[in-house]
Amino acid sequence: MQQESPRNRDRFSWSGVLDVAKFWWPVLKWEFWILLGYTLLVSVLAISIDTHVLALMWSLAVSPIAYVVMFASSLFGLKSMRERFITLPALNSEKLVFTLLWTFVVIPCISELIVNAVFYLYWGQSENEVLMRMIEAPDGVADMSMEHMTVFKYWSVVIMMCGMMICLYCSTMSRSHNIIKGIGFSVLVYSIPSFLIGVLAGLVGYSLGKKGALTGNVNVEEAVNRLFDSMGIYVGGFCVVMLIYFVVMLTLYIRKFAKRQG
Amino acid sequence: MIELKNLSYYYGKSTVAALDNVSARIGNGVHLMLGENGAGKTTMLKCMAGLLLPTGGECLVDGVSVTRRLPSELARVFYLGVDDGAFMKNIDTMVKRHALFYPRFDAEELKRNLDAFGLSSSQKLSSMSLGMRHKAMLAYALSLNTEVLLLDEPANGLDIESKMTLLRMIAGKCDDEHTVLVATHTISDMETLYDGLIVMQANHIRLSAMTEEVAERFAFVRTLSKVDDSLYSEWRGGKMCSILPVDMADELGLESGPVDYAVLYGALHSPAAPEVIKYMTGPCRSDYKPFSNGVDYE
Amino acid sequence: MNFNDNIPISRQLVEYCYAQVMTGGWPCGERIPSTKDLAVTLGVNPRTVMKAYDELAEAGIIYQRRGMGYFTADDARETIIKKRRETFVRNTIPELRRTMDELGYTPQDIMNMLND
Repeated sequence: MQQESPRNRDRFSWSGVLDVAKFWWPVLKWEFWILLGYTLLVSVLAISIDTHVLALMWSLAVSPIAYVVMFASSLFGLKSMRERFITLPALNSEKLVFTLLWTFVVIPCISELIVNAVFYLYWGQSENEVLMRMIEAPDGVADMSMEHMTVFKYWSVVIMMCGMMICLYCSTMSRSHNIIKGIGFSVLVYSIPSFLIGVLAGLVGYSLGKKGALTGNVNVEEAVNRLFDSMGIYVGGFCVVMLIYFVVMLTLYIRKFAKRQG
Repeated sequence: MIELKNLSYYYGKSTVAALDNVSARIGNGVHLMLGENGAGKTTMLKCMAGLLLPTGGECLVDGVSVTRRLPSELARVFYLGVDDGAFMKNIDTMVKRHALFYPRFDAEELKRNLDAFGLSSSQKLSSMSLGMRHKAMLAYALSLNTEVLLLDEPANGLDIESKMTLLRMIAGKCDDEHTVLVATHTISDMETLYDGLIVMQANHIRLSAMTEEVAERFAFVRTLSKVDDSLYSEWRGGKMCSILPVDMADELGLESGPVDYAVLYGALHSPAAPEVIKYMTGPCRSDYKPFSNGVDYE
Repeated sequence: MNFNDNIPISRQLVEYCYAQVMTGGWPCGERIPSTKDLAVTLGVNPRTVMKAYDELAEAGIIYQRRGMGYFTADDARETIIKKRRETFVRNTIPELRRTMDELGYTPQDIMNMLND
């Protein structure tokens, strides 16, 4: 029994990418539906509870989402599937495109789109704006300006991308313990820079505070703003570094993909 | 046809070669690859399948290197490993999501194979016993109809009846369009099948020849007592099994049985190995020269 | 079919084919399994079956019709009996003679045994 009109499989085609998706779907569908379901649940819950409670609970509620998004590509490391994937009669470029699309487009989109869609429908605002509102809730918390928020938002995106990239890299390239390596290195890449920033913030805060104490000028709000200003620059610097790291890892991934060992 | 040219493979940072400068030509038909565990059989099969990229040398299937991992090439080879379990829920899922990559897949053949083994395509593979799962995978692998089929220890864990069924299935693939390689460390009751033989030892190929070439140079006799001047002999199953050059067997009036792979394997791992290999390059009984693999000199 | 370890497989196949003809499993003048079919049934390499068929064709027991396959000759049984008789005279009888000498039996002793 022959398949009908065989297309030239040695040339890139999106139907080839789709076939690869079909191959992976039985495994990937789990994280797809779980992520979708959980994100929807959390979003719906968010719009039905008090803003103050929401402000406290939100980051806790969404952290599982962040983990799933970051570690999503670890499923590519499943041994039996990985080996069959290497010898799967599809173009390396088709396989590559699929893994990148899944990791960096499909999975993040599920979380981002759903949250934003739910918030927009209910409040007419995006997630960012809602978060801003929560932070501004009168609780004695200092008022961060939009600029500060932006830098930190960029930072969280960049560091997340780096975590995702290293997870994808290890899961697909390593021959043994690839899932553990993927998740482990991902955690490292995510935590170490964040830890450094935390240390830096402490140092900067301390030196600023000392200055303030010496001059007798203790305007808390201004001090905090100055802290965020300085940190903003440092975090911006870190962003650039991690972005370069991301680009390097991505390039390595693309170049070494065709030559990975089974 | 599979061609290996100076193929070498080193795992990771290892300085010990899993495959050491291996060269061979493997024609159509069913071939037996014999070797101890660790001799390099699995590595060689994985290189042929494109799963491993060689550290040195090349592996060509019908003249095209497998290392490029082009779909058209990968669709012509299928490798079933020793502990290759299922990679999907059941055979039906595999047909739906994996077989579509193999243009020569034959659904009717799959049905026949599964029926012969008494299995169903919808049964969950994870709920099957090891033997049943293995049979299901074999049924599937054979139905993909790839030009090259690489089976690592296929008879492992199969009862006698299933081995016979497998034997019949593989026999159906003995033609000019297929090359089947069966790698094993024990002869598993499938001796009647093989066109060719490859013996691997310590990551080298010790011998690579067609069965007919072997049969035309050596007589495999079974006697009650030792035959003087035999190249090699060993006690097996209550009889003395010996390998003699054909002329000597003719002189002694001894009749040769079929090629005895177990005894030949024993010979190639004994001090008699160089002699045996020397005879392989010598003249044979008849003028008929089938397609030759070429013999490796150690 | 269980294969003997002492005799080449192609020879055993030839014997198998003889048996098929003699027992009527392969009626004379009718089509017999193709090399591939027989190979799959018995679990042997088709090339070995081909060798056996070549031998049988040479002996006139089967013949090949282009595009239609192999058929048993009409006089296949007679041919086989003739071949078997030749083997009997060439091998079995001398063998018997040798054994008789070894054991000290005379032809008369053998006659007596056969008549019992």
